Amino acid sequence: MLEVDNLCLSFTSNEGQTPLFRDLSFSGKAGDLIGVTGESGSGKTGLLMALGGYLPTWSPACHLSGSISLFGRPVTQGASRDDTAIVIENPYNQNTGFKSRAFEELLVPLEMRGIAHDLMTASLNCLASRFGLSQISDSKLESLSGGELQRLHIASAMIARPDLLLLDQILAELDPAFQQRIFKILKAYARDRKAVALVSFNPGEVDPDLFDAVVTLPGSGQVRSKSSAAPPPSVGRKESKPAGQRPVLTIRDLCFRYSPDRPWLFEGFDLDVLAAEGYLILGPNGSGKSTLGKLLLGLLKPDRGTIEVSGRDFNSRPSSGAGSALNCAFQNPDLYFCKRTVKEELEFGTDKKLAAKLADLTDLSHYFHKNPYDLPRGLRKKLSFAIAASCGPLVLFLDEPSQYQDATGVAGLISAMRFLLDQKTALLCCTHDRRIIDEFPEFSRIRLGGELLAMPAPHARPAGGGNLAPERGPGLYSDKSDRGDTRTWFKNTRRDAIQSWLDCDRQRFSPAENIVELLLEKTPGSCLLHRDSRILDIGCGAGKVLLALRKRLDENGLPNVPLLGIDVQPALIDHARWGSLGASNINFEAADAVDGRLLSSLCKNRLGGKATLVTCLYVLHDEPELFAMLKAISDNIADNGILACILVHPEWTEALASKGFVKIVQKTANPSGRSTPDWRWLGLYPILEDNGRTTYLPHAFRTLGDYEKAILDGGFKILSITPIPPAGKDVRDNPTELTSPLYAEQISTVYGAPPSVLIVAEKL
Amino acid sequence: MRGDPFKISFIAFCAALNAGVGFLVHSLKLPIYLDSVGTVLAAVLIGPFPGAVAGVLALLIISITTAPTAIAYSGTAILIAVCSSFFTRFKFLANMRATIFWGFLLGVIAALASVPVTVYVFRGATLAGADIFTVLFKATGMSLHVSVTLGGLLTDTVDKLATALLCFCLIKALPARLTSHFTGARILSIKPE
Amino acid sequence: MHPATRFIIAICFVFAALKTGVPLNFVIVLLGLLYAFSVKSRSGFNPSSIFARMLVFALVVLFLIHGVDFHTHAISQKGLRTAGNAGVRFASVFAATLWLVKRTTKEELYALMLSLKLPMVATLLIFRAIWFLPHVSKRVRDVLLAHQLRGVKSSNVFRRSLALAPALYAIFASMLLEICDSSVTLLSKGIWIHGPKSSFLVLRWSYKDWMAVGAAGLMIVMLLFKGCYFARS
Repeated sequence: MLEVDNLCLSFTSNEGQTPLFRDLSFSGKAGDLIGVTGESGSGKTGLLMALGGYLPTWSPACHLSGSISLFGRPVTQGASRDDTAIVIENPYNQNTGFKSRAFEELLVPLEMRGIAHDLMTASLNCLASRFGLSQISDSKLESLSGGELQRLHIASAMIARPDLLLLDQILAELDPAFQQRIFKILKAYARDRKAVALVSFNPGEVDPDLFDAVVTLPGSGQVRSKSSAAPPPSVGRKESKPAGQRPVLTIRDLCFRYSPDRPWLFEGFDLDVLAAEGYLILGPNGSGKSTLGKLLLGLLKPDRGTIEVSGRDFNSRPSSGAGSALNCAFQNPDLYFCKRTVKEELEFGTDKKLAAKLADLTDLSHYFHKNPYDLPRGLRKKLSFAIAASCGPLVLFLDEPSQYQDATGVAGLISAMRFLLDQKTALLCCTHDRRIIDEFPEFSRIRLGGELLAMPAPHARPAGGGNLAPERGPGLYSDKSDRGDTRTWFKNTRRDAIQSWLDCDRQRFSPAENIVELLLEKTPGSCLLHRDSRILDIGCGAGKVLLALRKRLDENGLPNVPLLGIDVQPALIDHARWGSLGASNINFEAADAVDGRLLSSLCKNRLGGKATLVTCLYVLHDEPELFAMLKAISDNIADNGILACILVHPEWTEALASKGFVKIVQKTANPSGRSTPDWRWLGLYPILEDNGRTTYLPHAFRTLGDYEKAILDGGFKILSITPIPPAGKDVRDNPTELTSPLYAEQISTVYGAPPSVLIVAEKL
Repeated sequence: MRGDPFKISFIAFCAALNAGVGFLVHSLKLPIYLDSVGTVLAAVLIGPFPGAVAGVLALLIISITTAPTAIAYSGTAILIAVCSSFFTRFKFLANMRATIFWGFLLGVIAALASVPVTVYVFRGATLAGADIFTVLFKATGMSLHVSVTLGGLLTDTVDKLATALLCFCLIKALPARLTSHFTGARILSIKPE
Repeated sequence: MHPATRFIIAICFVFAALKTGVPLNFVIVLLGLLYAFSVKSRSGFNPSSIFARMLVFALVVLFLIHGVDFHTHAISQKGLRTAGNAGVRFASVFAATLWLVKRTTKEELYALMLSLKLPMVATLLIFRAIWFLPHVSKRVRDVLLAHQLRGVKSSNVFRRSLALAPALYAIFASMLLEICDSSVTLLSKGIWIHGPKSSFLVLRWSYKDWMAVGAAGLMIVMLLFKGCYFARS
């Protein structure tokens, strides 16, 4: 429960006290996702900092009055807390610096709480896949893009399960696909953890209906511009390219990648930009939008190709100052400011008339006498845009210009961009903001990298003569040459292999064995298994199946047959536990549906000698997304190996079966033959059965209350509830062995209180 | 041991600034090092001890990134921090004239403090621009002590003077929002404008 | 190998280079240098070229200061020896540091500092400083470019000196804003939470480490009593 009463926040600047908001009162229930919105400079960040008690650290110039309480405890400013976590807008500032690899950075909050190694692994896999970080989790931190880094920090904030999760303008860095997903994740988190999550956003950035409540900050009461309304979009202003006009920017055969082991970001990239022409550069996080800017400015050297501005080749630094050919409004606005007021700043090194006009259009004129560093970030961003634009370049590269902007800001920006186009400036604008994209339908669009592999990439040639390399993105459907061979070879040996396997130790893998048998009965192609609720495994049935299958194949001299399993359930894969089971020849990958690149790399490289299990967290995906992914994998692997897809959702099984998958329903022996309620849906796994008394292992995501209720509703009587033993130990080995209270405490930190438990229940 | 994470980050930043400003000077092709800007800023804005920590930390970073022998000059760094913090009592960085005077003095102190290390540990080589002067003076027939001292005095005074002047400009121009973290700093309480 | 073992070996190496006599120390240092320059970087950080340049610079300066007599334009034997001894000092420290820097990852250093029970403040200071360094360099580059793009001239020394103050101001002020943010995240990640900290990387002290440390210790003892040892023989 979060209660805010009569909160007033003001800060001291060079001109004295400036109030941000006063008499703010609101409350949030446990499980609420609350939005905080308001114009640029209305104190969104300040409010979040105050809620977390971070004000003295963030800015001692702020003065706060009023009261905040979180779950009955008052929030004191400056006291260190471990039940609150915050993610700020700039992802590059949030690394602790202790680590060089992404996954270790993600785990820092757990290290700070002294959590043991194997528990960290469990929560890492779970979170990494939810945030689409699995394929980059081993990368160096400095090679991640802003969006990837931001996702990492959100995951890192959630990993310690705080009661209050504060996310300050995180949407700016995330691509639209993930923006939608993050709300699902946050809602699920707040609900399951009984926590309060607050997200601040600019008005118009997201649909307020996504939140349980929205707090709107009144704004600083500063004068609004009289001319903020954007002129109507002039559609068709520039339909045909005037023939014979010389391009101001020419890119030929641009090839670039950060290092030889990273994929090409640009391969044979061509572009011609004419004067007064606009381009929107679109693409998900990490697709190379900012990199293009760096290449244009000569901060990075292309591996191949040329970039010419108004006919001059510059692989070296561009010429400087007013009238230079190319300028860039950097993503970080603070690089420019070196003067004491906005006015001086705008008049330094620029075309003064142009600067005055742009300041007018972007509403900066009201702030002429302020120090640039005293402005809120949205205004600083606009100021840096105005400075870059007023140098009068032929080509202006804008990196996320609408970042941190409210509606007024975007309107001002759009009118300034139109004004620049009228001044014959060509604009290259990187953005994923719909407000900008929709406003400029006449702009040519350049889409960069990272297309979802299953979807046909709509690489429409940019209308303005821009040209992209035909083979962009990961080529999943590669190299079909040796498939025929594999197939014949496999067919010939398969029967013998199965037979010899069936002959020997049939008893050893009881449930898994049945599946393997069924799998091999079918053509080695895509197989779909509907996992009945009776597999007596802890969670990872797919892993067991794969392990058994891999073992069989290896023993029968088929070590190179690729094997890919997909386990579509919110399971935790725990390396330690698999290690203890001797599963050294199995890869674990946690995927999510948009991770096209991961899957492509899996299909291409990694499937060789090992079995690979991909866990997809279906709770977070849309069905079309999931189907697209499964289809892509099965298309790619169908002739080449075995795909085991283990679903817990009967409807999905049917749906996939209708899409060409072979369906195998696994019937396990059920001695009593009674139909049990689908415990798995409650997240319960029956692990021992003894005279009608069943021991269940609940899934870690749920809380005890849910289980109790579910079990009681299902007509069971609970006999005992005890915390589960540590990861790495198989519960079935000794279900009564329970470990120290410390473990229970740690697991509650990782998964949320109360701890995961072992429930012994009796059917009444 | 707890502390304000801002102060810790700031000290670390000052250390990194000491080491990184070399890159700025190098990019602008200027004949100075400015490698104690961070030390002076930390000392003046937070206090002598943090300043000394920043100075030593900077040398540690320089040791692992460019020249491992730099760490031997820790004493000089500590002295610079203590002196510049002490000088703020006498309007160091509060007005131009005092800044020039104390900056010059700081240069002399720094130069003299590093002489013993240069002479006895490294036999004259400092791995910086001062070495050229040392070689020149040595070539005219002076003893090692004298040439090292003269070389150090020539470079360090100019350098620390420039450092002091830059810090003066920097602190004068900072907006209240940024200086609010250093409420205890003497230099800000006597800030004229 | 345990990172602590590496530190002990590095210290031992420098000690050996300083304590042994003339022909042997050259051999030790030369071998050490060769190894340090050729070994592959595990940490992703490789200052070999800078170190090499610095070392060459040091050797040249030492040679010029001691080795050359500018009056007689001759090379003095005694001077060369002084220069050589000082050169060995430089080279041994360079080799040891280079090897440590190349082989120790951040994760190992963190785990080591944790197991040594160093106060969190010290750990934070060191890691923050290491983290800030590339940021400062990057910021320097970005700010200079931004200033250049808006017309700050850098045609002669005077103009470049004038460009210094605005650039430094932009670097300092913009980084200061970011420090405010990043210190909040440090708090949020729980740096001051009471109780023990853990590390994802679990360091193990194996028999190899015992052997290496034992050998290093033995060598130090032998070198310390080198005087009486040689005197007797």
